[in-house]
Amino acid sequence: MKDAIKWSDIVEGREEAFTMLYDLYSDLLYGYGMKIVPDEDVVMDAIQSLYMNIFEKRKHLSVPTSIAAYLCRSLKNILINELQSASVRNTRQLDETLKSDYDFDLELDAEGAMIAGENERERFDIFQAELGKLSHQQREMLYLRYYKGLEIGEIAEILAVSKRTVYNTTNNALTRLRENPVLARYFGEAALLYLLTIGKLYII
Amino acid sequence: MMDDKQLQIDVSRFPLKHETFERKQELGDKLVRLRTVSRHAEVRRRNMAIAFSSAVLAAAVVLAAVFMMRVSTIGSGSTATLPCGSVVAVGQGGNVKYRPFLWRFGHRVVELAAGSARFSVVSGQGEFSVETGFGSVSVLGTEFEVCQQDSVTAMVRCFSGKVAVNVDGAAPVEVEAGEETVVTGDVVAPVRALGDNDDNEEIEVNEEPETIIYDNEPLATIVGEMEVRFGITIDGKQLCQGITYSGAFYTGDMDLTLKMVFGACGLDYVIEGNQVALRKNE
Repeated sequence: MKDAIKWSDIVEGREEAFTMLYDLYSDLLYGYGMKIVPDEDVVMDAIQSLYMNIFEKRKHLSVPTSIAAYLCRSLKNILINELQSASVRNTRQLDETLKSDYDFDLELDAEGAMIAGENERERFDIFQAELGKLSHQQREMLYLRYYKGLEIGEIAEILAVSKRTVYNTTNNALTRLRENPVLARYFGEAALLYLLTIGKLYII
Repeated sequence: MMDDKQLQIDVSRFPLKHETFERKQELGDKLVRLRTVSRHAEVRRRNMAIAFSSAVLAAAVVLAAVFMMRVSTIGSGSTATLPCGSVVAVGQGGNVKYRPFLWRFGHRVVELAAGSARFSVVSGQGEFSVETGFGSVSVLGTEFEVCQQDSVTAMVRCFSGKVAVNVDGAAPVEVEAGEETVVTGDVVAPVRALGDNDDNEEIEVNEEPETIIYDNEPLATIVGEMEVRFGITIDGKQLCQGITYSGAFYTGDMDLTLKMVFGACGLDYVIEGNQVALRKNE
């Protein structure tokens, strides 16, 4: 993702730079954050904390290689800390399955999907089932790569792994999806695209 | 791997459930308000920090000034060791002052405000100066004594080493070990040997039999003393009327005494045998 913001403007505290930083990246952060903690209030609080931390500590921040990766990684850390906090679990009554780790569930939006017929419905359900069989890291990489459009290097930075790991993990996930005979036909040159466009892959 | 670019473009056509940040504007507005509050707090903190720093700096300056200007006094009859290790013995009626802070930087200066004091100066630490009303006495390492009668009259005795007597308007006069000199106004008398009965230990001002220090004494009285001490007759005493003299009187040196006393009083004189004739200075 190409950065359109001069980080030096952030460091200098220019209001327009902060506005742009929010306008450009808050959607990305919201969607990503909701996969880690599916609670809108928690995610909004985390995004608020993230932006205010940047504002208040701007003079001491080093220039990030990628602003998107930096923001995602920072938000993820905030949310993980929230998950690890007993107070969050107690006061916000989060689902008890949400502990210090996260599942990064990807769920297709069946109700919102415009399914034309039974065949599409079947593929939709199969794809949903196969996504659930992937590891949470595979789902997270697929999401960041194909839905959010982040570069391999940015994903590696967010997940603190090597670029090779990102490449291999993503490729393995696609290979596994192809192993399903129903999906195999669609996981050729643009199979995932097909599924996403036909089945409307909704990730929540 | 598939055509990532094409995939990403096509995926973007399908809005995802819970992917749309519906409260984006709400949170954005809140962040603007929070930043405004934070900026104001920053300004307040900065102003307070500046005010606090200024107050601390001012207090530090005042304390430093007080510390630097602190004056130590060695009173009459006291003996004290100065910061450099030199020893000063203050005679009766004497008073020595110095600023300890300045001595840290090799500024070895004491002020002999009044009376007399004897100094045993440690060498190898730079110049040591005694400032007096008549000028200053500076040394590198020696033992000497300064007897100050008033602001214009004093005697400097050197017991070891060498000292320089500096008087405004006159060339420095060096006084070596075993010598002494008397300062009257801006006149520094030639150095002379210390008196035979000088024990080099006691500080006795105005009790030295060979030197009498007068303070605003009528000249007529001093002329009478001259006639007694030197066995001479002085003519023209009427010229002494209304004139007073402050300074040294050397009982063992008639020529020097006549020169200093009449010179200071603006009178000329001619010596013929035991006769001294006074006349007005032309």
